[in-house]
Amino acid sequence: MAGDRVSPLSPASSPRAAAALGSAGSTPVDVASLGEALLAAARGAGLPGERVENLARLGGGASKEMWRFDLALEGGGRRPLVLRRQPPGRTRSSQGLASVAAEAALVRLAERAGVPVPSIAFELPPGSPAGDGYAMARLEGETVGSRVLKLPELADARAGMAHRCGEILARLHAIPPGEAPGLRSQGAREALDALEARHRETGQVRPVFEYALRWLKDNLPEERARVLLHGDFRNGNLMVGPDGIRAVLDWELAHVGPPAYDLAWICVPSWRFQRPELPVGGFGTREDLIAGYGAAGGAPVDPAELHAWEVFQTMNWGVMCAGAARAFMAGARSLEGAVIARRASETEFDLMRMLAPDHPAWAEARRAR
Amino acid sequence: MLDDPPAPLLVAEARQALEAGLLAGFPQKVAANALGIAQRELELGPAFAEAAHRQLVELLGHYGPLDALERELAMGLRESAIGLGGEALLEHLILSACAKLAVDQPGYAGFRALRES
Repeated sequence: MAGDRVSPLSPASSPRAAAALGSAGSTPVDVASLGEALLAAARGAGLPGERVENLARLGGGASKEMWRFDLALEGGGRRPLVLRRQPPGRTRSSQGLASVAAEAALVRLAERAGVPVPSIAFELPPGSPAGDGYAMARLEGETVGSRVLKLPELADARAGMAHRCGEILARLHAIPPGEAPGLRSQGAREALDALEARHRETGQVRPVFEYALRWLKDNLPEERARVLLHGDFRNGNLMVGPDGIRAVLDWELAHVGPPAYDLAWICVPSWRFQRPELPVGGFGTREDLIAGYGAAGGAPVDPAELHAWEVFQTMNWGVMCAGAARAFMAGARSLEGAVIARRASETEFDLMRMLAPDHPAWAEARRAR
Repeated sequence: MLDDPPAPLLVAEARQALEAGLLAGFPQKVAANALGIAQRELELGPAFAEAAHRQLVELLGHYGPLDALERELAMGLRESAIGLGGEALLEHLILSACAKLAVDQPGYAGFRALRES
């Protein structure tokens, strides 16, 4: 169900978790007052709520809290919901949207465009004692990336999923960006400058990242258009059932930019888990992804442009891992942070696989171990 | 040549977590993972550093401490003093990436696929 995501790789597979390491404190929560605040927000939004029941914190979500609850309705009936919130008084990460509640508006927009999402039930009003956030439908499905690739009952779903991902992204990218006001807009050059700046901030000596940056400066094309992006579209943020993708989750990194940004992020090798041979999330081919994108009205995808963005996005994940190392060394000690930090090397390996696939040194590396 | 945090800090963090009482399941897996990285760093790190040092001396054409040579390579790439196509450069980048991964995550699926290919 949405948010009920305690992954064996949960912190390590979540970019936000890496970005937020050290900032996620655990403050004791008064569950009764949280329930009251939720009921007030639901009623304020016009829902005939009578009681909040079975309110419980869900695991995962290093940067945002997730809670499950049932809204018992006047005259019987109940709605199973999930709250996504930032408790009052916590500072927001600078990368994301202006508020968690602003995410809800975006999710509504995506739903109207035909993107599968958990329907929004209500937002927390400004100043709510429950903090900043919203309640959405509680759906059933698998979200842990490695299990999406493994569960036998999802075999049929996996077969069509790369094509479906393309369709979903085409629908999302067709939304006029002006309908989602307040989002940051970032073209290819700005995105590359920002990536380099984040790498510099880590202060780390990384010849592979310097090599990739040089290559990207020569090869990342200027965008032909800027569209509304999900910003974190990958295996791990898709809720999957036997019937296919039921919902696209975690919209907090949404922004406006080149369409290839989303198409490439789901092709980053790190999200392929145990299936490195299937580039799209470990479940499909680029050809299917691109065909689905085109079938739902998306602009033609240039394979060379997609490749360049895959290089960009692989380094992007690498810099997130490297940022975890910096946070750890600066004193934000955590075991998860340490282990994520040591995942930066997987991206150096993947970058070299992409940038020098035919070099004879690979044969030497193969023999060495 | 290996990344932060280094083995002693991984061990210290895992030890502290064990002393605090680790929950079964995911937290234990993370601790075992951190200790595994530290162990491989101790076992493989010196030989990898030696190999990287040798490659860098050849690549840059002079001697120096390993970290200074790595910095020089990074700076040379950053400032375009070094071209991207050199065979020795690519060889060093590939071999050092593989060496780091052999310490950090020998079971990484893409790495396993390479070795089994």
